[in-house]
Amino acid sequence: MPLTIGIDVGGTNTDAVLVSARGVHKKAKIPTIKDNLLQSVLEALEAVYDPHSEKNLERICISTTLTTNSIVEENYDKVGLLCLPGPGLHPKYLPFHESMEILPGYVDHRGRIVKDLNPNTVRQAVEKFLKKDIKRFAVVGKFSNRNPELEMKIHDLIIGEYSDVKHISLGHRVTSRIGFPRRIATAYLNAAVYRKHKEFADAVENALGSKGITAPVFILKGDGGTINLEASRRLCVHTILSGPAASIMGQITLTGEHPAAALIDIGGTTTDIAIMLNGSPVFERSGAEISGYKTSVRALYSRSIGIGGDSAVKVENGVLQIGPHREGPAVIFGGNTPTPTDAAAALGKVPCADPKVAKEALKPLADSLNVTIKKTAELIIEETAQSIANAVKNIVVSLSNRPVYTVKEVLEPLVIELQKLIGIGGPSPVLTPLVAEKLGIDYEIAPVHQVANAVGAAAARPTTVATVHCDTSTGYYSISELGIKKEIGKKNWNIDKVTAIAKKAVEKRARSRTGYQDIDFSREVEITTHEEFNVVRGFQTVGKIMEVKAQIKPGAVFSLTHWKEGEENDHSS
Amino acid sequence: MIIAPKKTGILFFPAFDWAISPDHPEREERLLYTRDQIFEEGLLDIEGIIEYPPRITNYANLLRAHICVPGPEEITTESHLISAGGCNVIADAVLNKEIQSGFAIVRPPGHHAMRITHGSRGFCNINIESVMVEYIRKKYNIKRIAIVDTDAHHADGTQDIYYNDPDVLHISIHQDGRTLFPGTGFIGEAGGPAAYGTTLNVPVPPHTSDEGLLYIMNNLVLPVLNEFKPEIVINAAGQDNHYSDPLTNMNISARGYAKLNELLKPDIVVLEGGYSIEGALPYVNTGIILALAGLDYSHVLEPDLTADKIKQSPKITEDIKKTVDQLLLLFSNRTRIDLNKIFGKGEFYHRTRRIFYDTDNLLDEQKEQIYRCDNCSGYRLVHSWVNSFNKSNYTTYVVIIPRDACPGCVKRAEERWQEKQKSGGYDYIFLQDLVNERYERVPKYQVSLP
Ligand SMILES: [Zn+2]
Ligand SMILES: [Zn+2]
Repeated sequence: MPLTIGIDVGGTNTDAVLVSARGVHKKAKIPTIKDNLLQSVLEALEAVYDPHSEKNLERICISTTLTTNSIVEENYDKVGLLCLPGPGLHPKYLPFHESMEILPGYVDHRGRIVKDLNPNTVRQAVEKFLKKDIKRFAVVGKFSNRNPELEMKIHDLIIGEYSDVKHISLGHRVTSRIGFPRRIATAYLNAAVYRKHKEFADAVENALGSKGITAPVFILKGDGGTINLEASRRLCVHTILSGPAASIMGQITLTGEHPAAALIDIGGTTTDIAIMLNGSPVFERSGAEISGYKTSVRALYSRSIGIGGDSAVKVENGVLQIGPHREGPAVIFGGNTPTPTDAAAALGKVPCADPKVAKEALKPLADSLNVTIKKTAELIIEETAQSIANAVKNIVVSLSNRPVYTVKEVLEPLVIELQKLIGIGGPSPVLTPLVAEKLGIDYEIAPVHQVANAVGAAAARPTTVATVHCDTSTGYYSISELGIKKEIGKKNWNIDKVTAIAKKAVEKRARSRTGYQDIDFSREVEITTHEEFNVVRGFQTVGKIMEVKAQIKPGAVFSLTHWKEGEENDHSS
Repeated sequence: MIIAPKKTGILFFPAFDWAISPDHPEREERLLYTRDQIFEEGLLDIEGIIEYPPRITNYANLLRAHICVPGPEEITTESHLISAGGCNVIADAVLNKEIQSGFAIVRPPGHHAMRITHGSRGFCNINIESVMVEYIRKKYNIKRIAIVDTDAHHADGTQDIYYNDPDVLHISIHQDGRTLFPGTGFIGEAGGPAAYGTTLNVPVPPHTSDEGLLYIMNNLVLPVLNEFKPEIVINAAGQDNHYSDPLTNMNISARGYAKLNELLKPDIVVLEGGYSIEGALPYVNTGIILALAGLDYSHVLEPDLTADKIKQSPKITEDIKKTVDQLLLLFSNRTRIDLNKIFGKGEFYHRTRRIFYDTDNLLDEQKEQIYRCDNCSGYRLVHSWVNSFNKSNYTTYVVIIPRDACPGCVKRAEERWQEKQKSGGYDYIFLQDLVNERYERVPKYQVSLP
């Protein structure tokens, strides 16, 4: 039975599981060592690692907050940003414009080089940064996703002439998506956190090597997919927001794929809400947002509301107020301010808590509301569930009201009719049924919620994207993620051929992430963009513009929907 | 992070699956490069620029602006209804004060569609601005509206719909009709007997550039608006006046267009024509969005633009000044002028017209009578004879009761409507009653109408 280790480094705790398709064999929870995430990872690993089953250990997957924290805390390296904006939006509006050198040369919307580089301006800019001891660079051109040549030329020039330069992130490599400002933010942040992530990756590799662990190591990305340690070094920015992704993947592994479900992760201070459609979690439309930076990083859609089990409950002007602040743990766990958890305890719904303590805590609230303590507790639970239900409803509305660009999409709008609510997190057994009732749908509560994130990391499969843009009238095609721009030659290209190339490219990319021999990636490829336009000039069709984006979408390698805690031991061989 | 000083709504409906015909300028590809440019610039990510999804409108909303012959079903496609509906979405957002101004980047366009519309002319079937204006008037109780049409072609359809409406100021700035389709839009076409001076045509010579256009804005459009005091200002932003447009001979640049909108401060901008889909539209639309949002557009520049390319000759500058002076005089004298000298002394003002439908290949010959009433703008009667080169010919009779009609005119118009139904003699007889919202046809409509 192949085994996987999943590790999730959270803000408070680091969780680890040793898991297989049969269930969770070992689990551990240790406090996260804030200044030493590596140590946290290794300790958690140690807790679930079983030397006897080493030969069955197929892979280790880590979800870490390293890059996320480093960006949120602005604790990263200074980056020399070289931009080729050409005409358009004023560069003063671009992200990181204060650390930007603008270079002449640009590409237009068709991917044609309108103005070539001036190598001397590149040299001047690089030297300016080097003088300030800035050795990591990001190079981003407008429309570089359509034609990466200028970015690649700059890369080659720098590598050829400046041995001091430690790293260069290229816009077209970190993302194939359209959106120059987001590409800038993505490439900049990638270069900024590169060193920290690389040091972490190197240290993990060394530590495992010294223990004789040979299983390949993967890092979880914000899109709920994994990437091998080696590739994660170059694309480290894609590992941001892996925490919410781990939670979502955990819920999928533990409760299965659903046609239309809302996933709620109810924590102490907040509740995270995600949506699953046709068995897959929904993505952020344009990319992840972090610390106010809009990026092109693929990320799972997740919205956080300021309400959770530890939200402070007050009565203001005769009205019950729940959250958005937390003033400590629930009273039953030693806090001072009553919380929804206390309300649940007062109703006898929290095992091993004393309802008397909870009732005592709610008494002042009951007095101001002029109702019984029981009624107060019910109101608090009711109100909390209603707030979560309203947030779910708003999310469904905002996802349904997406912009559409064809007649067909206007006539056949996306209708999201939720069928199921999946709950996870400490307060979820009490709240999920009530939220589901208000939404008028079924619910399911994920088992082993204490380590669900680690299960998610362990079960996630690799995700990847390839975008083929082909313009037969300019005579080129490009695959941005792979840094490919080639002449199409004399052959007659059509949309089927472009699609075939995209599928092949994405499969090849996925297969290069060895460690998932059991997955047939060709069956998991999904086409997400499929566009074909005739290029007509002067009433003559002179060519075609075709774009096909293929992806391996996130999903669980194995499912634990039928697993009950304790069962795996009965079947162990 | 950038925050737009002015909250701006964008409705982008490129109709990527709709074309008049595969090689026609009005085809799927038209807004492809505009999408690429807007998305690559990240304009929709800017805080304060809000993207609205489109919405399809219904036939009832069309019939306040149009008499569709034989019916709305026959002369529209879903794309027309979404294009018009998209404008209404932006109108709602502006009037509900969600945004300060909005831009409907939609296709197909509409400003050549006449009040009585028989199909497609100048790529237009339905007048999307007029459908929106009527929607706004109905829903928000707004009366005075100004439309400034800056498409290179004369907005003959919009002019036709508001020709005798004193509450709608329609200004069309276009390449001289002697040199371009549809061949109309001269200074003398200044409105009907009840609305003289609220139609202003500003024909400009070929090769007019930013300089000329901005001169007209500063010296004619802004002073006239200042006096007319509309509650809503609309820019019908055709972009075929761009120097690179293949169908026209004007010399406007993206930055010139942005400047125009910065000066005009329209509440609503609607895309009209514009067929330089690679060289103009991506840049002009970027410029307009930035100008509406109050952001710096000084770096918006077409790759091939040089100052020489759009230099305006002194002769053109002179011609434009003369036209502006004439129009200023006409506008300031509009209430003092002796209307009988223009419209005659009869009970009715008569006019005859020949309207050619280039796309659908038919000719509409119209005889129109406008009742000259002291209490309202007067009911109207139109005979229309259509000679079709593709289908069989047909005749139409239309009774129009304008929104400001007095009880006397409603009664007189009703009599004519009854009379014509009895006497017959036409293939279709229509009633467009904007007072009581009655939109009827004999023979009766097959589609469900309000
Ligand atoms: Zn036009
Ligand atoms: Zn009257």
